Amino acid sequence: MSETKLLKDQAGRRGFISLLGKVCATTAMCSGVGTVTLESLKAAAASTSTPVPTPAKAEFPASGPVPGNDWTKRRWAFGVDVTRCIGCLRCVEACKVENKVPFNPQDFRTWVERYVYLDGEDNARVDTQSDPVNIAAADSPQDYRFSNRYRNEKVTKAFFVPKLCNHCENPPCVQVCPVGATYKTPDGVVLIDEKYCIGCRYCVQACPYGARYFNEETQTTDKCTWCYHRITKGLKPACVDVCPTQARIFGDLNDASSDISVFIKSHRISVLKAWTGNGPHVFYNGLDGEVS
Amino acid sequence: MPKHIRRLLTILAVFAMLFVAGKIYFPPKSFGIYGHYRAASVGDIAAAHPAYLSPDSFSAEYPKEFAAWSSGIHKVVKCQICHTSVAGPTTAMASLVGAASASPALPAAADYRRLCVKCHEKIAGRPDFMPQIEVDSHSQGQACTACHNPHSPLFSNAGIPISAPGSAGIVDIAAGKKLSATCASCHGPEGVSAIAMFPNLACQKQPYLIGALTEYQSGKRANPIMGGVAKSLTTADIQNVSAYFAGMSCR
Repeated sequence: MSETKLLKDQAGRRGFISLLGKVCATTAMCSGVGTVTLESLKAAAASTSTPVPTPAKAEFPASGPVPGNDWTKRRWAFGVDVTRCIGCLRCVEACKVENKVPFNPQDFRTWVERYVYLDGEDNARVDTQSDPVNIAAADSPQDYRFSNRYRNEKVTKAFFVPKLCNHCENPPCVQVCPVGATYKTPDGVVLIDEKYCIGCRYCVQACPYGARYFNEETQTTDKCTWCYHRITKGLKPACVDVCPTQARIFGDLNDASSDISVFIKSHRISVLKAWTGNGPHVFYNGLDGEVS
Repeated sequence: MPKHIRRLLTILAVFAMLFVAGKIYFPPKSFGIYGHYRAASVGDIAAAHPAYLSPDSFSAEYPKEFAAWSSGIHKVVKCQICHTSVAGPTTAMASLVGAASASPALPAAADYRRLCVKCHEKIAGRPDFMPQIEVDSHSQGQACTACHNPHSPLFSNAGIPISAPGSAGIVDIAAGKKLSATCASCHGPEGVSAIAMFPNLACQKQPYLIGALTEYQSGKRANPIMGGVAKSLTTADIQNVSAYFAGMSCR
């Protein structure tokens, strides 16, 4: 039957669980289990007359809680042109400053990997700005730079790959959060509620891209927000803004003339770990098969 | 109903009531308006102040630097990539910042040899389109700003197009001669043009040639033929070919 077929399908299964959650939420029997939506809450309030806190209409309209930014009309996406990245790490430093990420060599919202193939070796040597050799090449721990470590080697092939949160269509990190502290907004950004996060780090484990880190200062998980505070003000994310070679591209997929739409149209793009079914929304051009 | 069953049901009912009461009391006010999260947190996140500003924010305060920057090859490098952020001295760039400037918002970057190499050092993986240097042999221990205007690095601080550092020995005139084969079809094999509309290049001043080629390359000087030629040249190519023509005899 079509139902069993649907269940086989990954998206269908998610839909079924979501539906189950909505049904649960509307019955008083298991309130608080499953997905609670605005509609299901209203329905629950109507059917059982439990005093659900009524939303202040003016503060939380359907167009989103950020005035002047209708999140139902946007679908943000990110592009990375690997062929243009020069590994200068300006994006990494800008991200740290912009988002107050602790200045240490482990915690990053975005990072850059370097893949180097040496003559006679089959596998790439991969390092990031966190590699001890690269940290030593920089002047201070607050300063990032790729060292010239392969100066005397015979390099057959080398390239840089910038990475960040993929803001998946079906984010596994959101699925595992036990308290609803991380969520996906209608405009396609996965956010973390810093005040509500209990610091269990389950989401850090769940992310297949390693995009999340645990912030020891705030004792909460943190990750890339595509600079939500900037994009809702009409600016580009800080890393996109500072990139001197336009290796990072950002825009609205619903706008056919936006940078990202043009980028996707004019390049043969791919995504990282497409087989996970997460639906990553960071699109790469020139990605080598080795990169995952 | 037996007494023990009644007790059990009472206890269950009390727990159920406690659960429901807790469920009503504890979740934050805006929880669940848009989904299984606190709706107010979206606004909290969006309310943060951007630290990286548009270069236009600094144009009024630094008109001279802004003019040099916005007309030069470095216009893709925004102010705060090199200068300290308005976020204050806790930033990465603070370590590169001297106390030379009067403005706390945008002080001068003091140590260029640590700053410029972040993009321009020749390392494995850096694509060829990026101008790259072997730091030690290129700078010979000098600060980058000894020759380059950091706001427009193809020019010196005095606004003169950059020629090769120090002696002419650094310029590869042989390489320039090889490249000049392309020029010969219009400008003549000896740098003397046979056609009236094409200028002679032999004996032309080197800084002038560098400036012209650089402007053709950037598009500041528009010419369908020279624009195409100049775009295929690297900075070193321009220096070499200019040095070659400048060194030819004047006839």
